[in-house]
Amino acid sequence: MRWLAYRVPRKNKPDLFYVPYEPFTFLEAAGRSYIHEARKDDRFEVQLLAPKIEDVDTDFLKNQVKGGILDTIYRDEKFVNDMLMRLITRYIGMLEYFWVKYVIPAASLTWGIYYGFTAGTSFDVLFGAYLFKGREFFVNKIRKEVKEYHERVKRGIEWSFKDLDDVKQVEHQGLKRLKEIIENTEDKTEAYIKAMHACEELGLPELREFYAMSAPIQEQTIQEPHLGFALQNKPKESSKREFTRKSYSKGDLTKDPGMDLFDYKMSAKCLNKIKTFHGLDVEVKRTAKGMGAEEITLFTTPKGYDINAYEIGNPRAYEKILIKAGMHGREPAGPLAVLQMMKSFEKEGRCTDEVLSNSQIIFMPCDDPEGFTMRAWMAVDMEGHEEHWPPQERIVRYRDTNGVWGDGARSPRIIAIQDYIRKEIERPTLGYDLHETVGKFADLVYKGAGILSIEDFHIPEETRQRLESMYRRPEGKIARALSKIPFAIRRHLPFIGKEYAYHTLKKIPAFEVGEVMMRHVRERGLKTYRGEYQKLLEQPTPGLAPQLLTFDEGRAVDGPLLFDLEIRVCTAWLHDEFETLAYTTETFQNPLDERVLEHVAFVEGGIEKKLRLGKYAT
Amino acid sequence: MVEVLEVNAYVLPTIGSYSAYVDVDIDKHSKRYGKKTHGLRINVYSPEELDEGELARISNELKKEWGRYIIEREQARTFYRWFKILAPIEFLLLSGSITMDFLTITPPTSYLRAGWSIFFWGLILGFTGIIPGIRSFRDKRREDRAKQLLKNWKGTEFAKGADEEERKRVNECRNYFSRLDGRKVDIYKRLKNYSLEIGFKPARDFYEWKIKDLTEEESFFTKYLPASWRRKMKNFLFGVKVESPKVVAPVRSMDIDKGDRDEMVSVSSS
Repeated sequence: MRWLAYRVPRKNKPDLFYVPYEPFTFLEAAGRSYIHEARKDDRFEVQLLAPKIEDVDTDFLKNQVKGGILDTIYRDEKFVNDMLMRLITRYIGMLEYFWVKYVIPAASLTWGIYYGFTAGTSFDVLFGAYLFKGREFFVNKIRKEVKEYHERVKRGIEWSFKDLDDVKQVEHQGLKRLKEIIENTEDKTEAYIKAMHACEELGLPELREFYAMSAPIQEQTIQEPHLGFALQNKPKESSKREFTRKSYSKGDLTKDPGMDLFDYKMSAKCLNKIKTFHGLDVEVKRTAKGMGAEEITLFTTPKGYDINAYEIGNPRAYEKILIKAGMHGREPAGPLAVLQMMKSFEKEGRCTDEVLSNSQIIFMPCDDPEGFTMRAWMAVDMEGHEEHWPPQERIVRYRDTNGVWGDGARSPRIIAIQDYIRKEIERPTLGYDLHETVGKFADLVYKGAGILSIEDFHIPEETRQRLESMYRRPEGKIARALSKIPFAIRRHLPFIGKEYAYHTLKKIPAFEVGEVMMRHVRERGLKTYRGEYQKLLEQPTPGLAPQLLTFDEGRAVDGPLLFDLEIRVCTAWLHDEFETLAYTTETFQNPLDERVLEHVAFVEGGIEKKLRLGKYAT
Repeated sequence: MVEVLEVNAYVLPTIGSYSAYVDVDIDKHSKRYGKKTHGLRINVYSPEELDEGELARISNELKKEWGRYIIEREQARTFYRWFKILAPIEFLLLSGSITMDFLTITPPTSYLRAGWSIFFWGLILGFTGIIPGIRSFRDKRREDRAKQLLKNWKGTEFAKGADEEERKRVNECRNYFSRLDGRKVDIYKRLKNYSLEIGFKPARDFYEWKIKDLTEEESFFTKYLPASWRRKMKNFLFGVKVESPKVVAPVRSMDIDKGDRDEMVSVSSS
């Protein structure tokens, strides 16, 4: 058996032993331990990919590597165990379905007793009794077998790794090049960022995660433990912040009769090259000049990057459309989608002129420039201190910057953006905040899913409460069993199901906008959130109030979990403060160009519908 | 002396890094060579020579994918061992019921009774116990073959691919890729068609798989732990389809026009 590990170069520190951990590492480890067990003459060795072969003490290295592998494999043991158990027990549930175990046996026993065990009914009694009690014997046996298997797999991995025979160093040119990049770059953060973006081209995509997590490490300055919130005084009155504006004169537009509003032609190769905020900003600024936009600087980050907004169209128009993205640096499709939308205004499509005459569009491509470059998440503490990948993220002190909009906002950049919207836009009528759900563990669940729309429009309180009650996990066996009955029956029950929500919400006029946008995405040949993913969203989560309440294919509203935790996202704030029709979009693991275009199509559908353009003119 | 079998690996263009694709199907390979003790020689066809580290990754990927494949097969079936006992018992109960119907009741009532036994009890017992039991026997063969192959497979070695034609095709693919632009899936579709044109079957298979992987709306969760009742039932009855894995390892980008990499990753402040 052979296992692969990496000697990863670091800045001014010894190389790091690293085994990339993926959701399936456990399955792979199990497979290899099987091979090791089955082949009695097998030697277990680790191939350590390294920038160069070092002269080291073999036994010392071997012991370090052995410990490192075991620690890595068992780092997420609980998650892996839960996943493995869910996988291997998935059949048992089918044998114990409520209606097979209780309803049918009870009916057949009653039937048999009523007819006095005569003729064929004696077998009905027998079957009933068998399903009621006899099958339990087999189910228990299968359960035991599952437990044994689980133990065997776990122990097998442990034993096989303890048998480590040799560690063989192998030179990898990609790692050598990474080492050079890191050594030749003076600043540590910059060195790791360069290394991260070079990983894929060097054929080492699995190391990206390592450098993404390492890059912001220098900014993590908080040293004290924080087990509670800092007590704050009441927030001061809104700031007297002034925003600087810069106007660009409009360039010549080329007509594109094949285009409605946005351009769907895209180059995956070019998209792949925009890796840093600098790259994005250069493109955005070039485009802003071409389309004659007005640039407003909202905030300058501690590292000197400007967070800008770009306005085009008619400033006196009633319709003000806000399109923002890049709140989470780890979600690149949003900023790239905003760039694609802006680029479209360098051309003139069928609807461009009407849109620019009847509305003002405000683009905000990236709220977190450093995060975009580092592919890192940012969080904020209650004193307004922002950090990427905060080490104490799981402790109460830190919150997702997108979760604290409104009066409770602490993030200086969010406060600046809020000030700008309040003072300069005054009342956005349509708002978008573009997001993604991507990452190794998210891909396990959502890989291949299309765009999901989380909508903020006015829902009467009574209706919202009704919706919440539908998606709470039913208490009691009977209620749970009823919630699982087929759709054909369930749709006639007034207290359960997406269909009730759909028909109730359909009466609200704003409902139609979301419906049109999702249809628009599909008509463009792009994916929407549907099928099994939709069922997954509808499924009640055991022990938790739902985060989202779904009411139509690929569409949802914020659920009670967010209210319970007082999480207020950007679009919820827009709706509450300005009654904006606001949408948070989520795309999932698909090619980057597909994700970008899903956002683009969604926004295009909304603008056309809101301004009654094209096929939505009537 | 251990027999050495030859398989080919091709380094093919993909966006970002390139991919080394080993053209071997574990199901077919185990069927033909599973019983023999053998080693594998991978003939690598690449536009540029691969270094030792990259070759180690290919070999690792092969072991990883094949190892994982037997575990997935095992988990799709093993727990049915008790079904093997449960299935015949439930089948006997059902047959007994139908026989009794004919022995104790006279026609035409007996036909109605037997119909009831078949369509009601037959469906319940058959769908929950008997059919999965039959699957347990059916799937075992493939699993055993794969396990046998892994026992008899004695290591991997690499060699530079010697076939001139194959080497030419790999280079042609790279050249064609350098001229392409557009959306990712479209680029792969065109590469697939091009492979077909130049008679490069392994590349065609690779791109076909790549397109499927990028376009299908399916995740590990929706496949193995679906939420819908219909899908759960389907999985229970017919099992999860465990596909023979594609062995693909990322290698460095070999694009002809790489641009200025340092410029591309520059992060100097705006």
